[in-house]
Amino acid sequence: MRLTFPHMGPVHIGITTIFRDLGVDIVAPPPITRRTVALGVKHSPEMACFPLKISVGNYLEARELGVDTIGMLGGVGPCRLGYYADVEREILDGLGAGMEMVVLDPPQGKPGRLLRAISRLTGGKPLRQVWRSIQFGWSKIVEIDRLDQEVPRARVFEAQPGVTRAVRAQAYRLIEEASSVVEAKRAGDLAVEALRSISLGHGAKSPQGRPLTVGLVGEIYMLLEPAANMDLEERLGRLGVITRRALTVSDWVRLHLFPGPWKSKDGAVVHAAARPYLNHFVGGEGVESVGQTVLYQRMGLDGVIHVGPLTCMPEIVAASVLPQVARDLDFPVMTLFLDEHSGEAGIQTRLEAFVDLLRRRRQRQREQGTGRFGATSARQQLAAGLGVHGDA
Amino acid sequence: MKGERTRIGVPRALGYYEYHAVWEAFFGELGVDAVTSGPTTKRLVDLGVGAAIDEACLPVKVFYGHVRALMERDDLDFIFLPRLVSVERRSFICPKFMGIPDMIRVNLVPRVPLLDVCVDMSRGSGGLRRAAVEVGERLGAGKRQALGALKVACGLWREGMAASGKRRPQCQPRSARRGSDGTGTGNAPEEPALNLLTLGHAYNLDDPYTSLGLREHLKELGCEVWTVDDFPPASLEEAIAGLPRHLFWTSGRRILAAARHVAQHHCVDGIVHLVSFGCGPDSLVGEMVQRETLRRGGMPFLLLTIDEHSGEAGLLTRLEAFVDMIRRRRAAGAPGGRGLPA
Repeated sequence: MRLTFPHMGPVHIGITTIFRDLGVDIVAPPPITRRTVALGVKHSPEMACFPLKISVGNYLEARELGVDTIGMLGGVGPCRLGYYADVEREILDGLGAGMEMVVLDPPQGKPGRLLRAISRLTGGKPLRQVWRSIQFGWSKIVEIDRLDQEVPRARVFEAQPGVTRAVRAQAYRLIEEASSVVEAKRAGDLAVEALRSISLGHGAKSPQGRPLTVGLVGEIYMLLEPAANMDLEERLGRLGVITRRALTVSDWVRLHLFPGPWKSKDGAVVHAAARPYLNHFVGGEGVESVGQTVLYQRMGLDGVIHVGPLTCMPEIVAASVLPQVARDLDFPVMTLFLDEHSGEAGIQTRLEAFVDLLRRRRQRQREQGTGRFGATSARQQLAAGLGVHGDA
Repeated sequence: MKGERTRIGVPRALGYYEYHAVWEAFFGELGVDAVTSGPTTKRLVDLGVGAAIDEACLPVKVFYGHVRALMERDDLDFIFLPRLVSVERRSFICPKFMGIPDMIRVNLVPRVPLLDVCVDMSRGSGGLRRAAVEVGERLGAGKRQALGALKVACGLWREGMAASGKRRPQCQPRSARRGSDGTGTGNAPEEPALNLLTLGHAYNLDDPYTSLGLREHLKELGCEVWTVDDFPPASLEEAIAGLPRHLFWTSGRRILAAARHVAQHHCVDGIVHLVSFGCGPDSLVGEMVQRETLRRGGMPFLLLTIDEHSGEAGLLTRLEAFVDMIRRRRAAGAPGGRGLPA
């Protein structure tokens, strides 16, 4: 048996670690390219959401590496992610791919269930050993999330263009290759130090004024996977914007996979912030998108970009109420729904326009002393024309 | 002018088509008048399209339209906006159903108070009773009265279900029967009627405007039109039982069950699946339906995607072509549907 799984940002580092540690022959699918997307789009339902299409592409490319088994997360709805595995199995069977789909359902308060499912995949390794390997993989994910927090700042302040990207790539490699929790931690420490020296150290670029900070909220896959979101964070970084991502892999795991008492407490804070606008769970990250937007405004960020895959149901609900959040809080919010048809130039133009809008808003706030001003009609028109809601 | 009795506006959209009988009976028992918005019209759709975000699906936009139409009236005390989270265990309807009261409240700033109540039966029918008590409270009725009204409403609902069961065909090939007693169709009297199964959500299929008169057109083309409701629940359950994992959308589950059932028993001549552009559950369920029918020997299948730009002429052309194709298949010796088994 050779195992694979779908990509989602840096999760492959954690997953391959866990299963290799358990002696499973596991390979991550090749990095997502245009070919991956084209393969996935060709064989997936037209109206399925983008992550499904990319993951189908992942499986087909992994098959070329001799993979015969897929581990995929299940779910209980109402978001489509919970039914991905079943549809993907149909697609692969229809193609005669000869791949087996093993569905790992979320624990639903019974943590033993997921452990036992993983143990079965490894040919019956003892649960204690499975748990140790999970902790090892988890430590790498935590390190990656820690160093990723330093990246947006370094990107904006780097003197040599591209150095942050290179440092991050190297750090990812070091963490991936780490053979113990301690080693992973050491690699993480090194990376954080290197990234901080880029943003604070000698030779750091000194931009005019404080850089803009933009929060990124939305659907988890689109937030985490640069190949799906057109490398949104990098693009904003090149425009001199520090990004703050609402969710990391470890946040997501804490929210969805941890049993009761160990569950992240942040969830309740986010839900409370969303409550005046969206007062019920709607699946996926719908409520989180709204709540995080409110929290980012309170934290004094300059604006929020909300991303989701086209036709995403929870994010459509979020996008329906976000314009009112933006109006109430006088806070610029832009929604981007992306899929395989999204064009680079179109996204770039919208990002530049949004950043221009934020800059001018910042400047006006400086001229007039504080924040919070009514919008001029011209600005409202500009915002409306660009599909940017709010700032009014 | 407000009358003596409390008047509640009920938007004729989304959950209305499946549950209005329960709602109306419940409100009636509480001595409250339920006032339904009129049938969907172009004006209502335009009202909805103007208020909803572009990415929303047609039924959500239509819902906005109906709510706006109700808000134009000045004789209502409440607008009923139930948050239909779940109507059966372990299942949901759709994330948009779960968010729609908030979407309406935040975007339309209603003058009339909203009667929004959460109906979540994913953990049992206690959710429905809680909802009934909550609505009763808002309308000034006691707990006992609300639960009594719910009991009556649910009783009527069950009777209605049983009655529709009696109308169910008993294993006779309808097409043959029609041919023999001479009640042919206008367009093609010499041709036997085709049995077609229409799949889709009630809020699309039962709304003549959004479905572009699909059923009427099919009848005019000499087809006997069947829906998921024509099958006994037990045979649907049996058809869906073989799935490896639970499908957690109530309507999608019924759609897939019906498709599996007819494909297995070859009891219809073809399937017409009506979906809204951008419908999340249907994007996956529709794929499963197509693959299931193909695997079970294949069956003529037409996928119709509608949105606010769809035109009736385009629909009619496609239906005619589909029906022609099935008739030619049959003329060439392909077996026809055997009619619905009991």
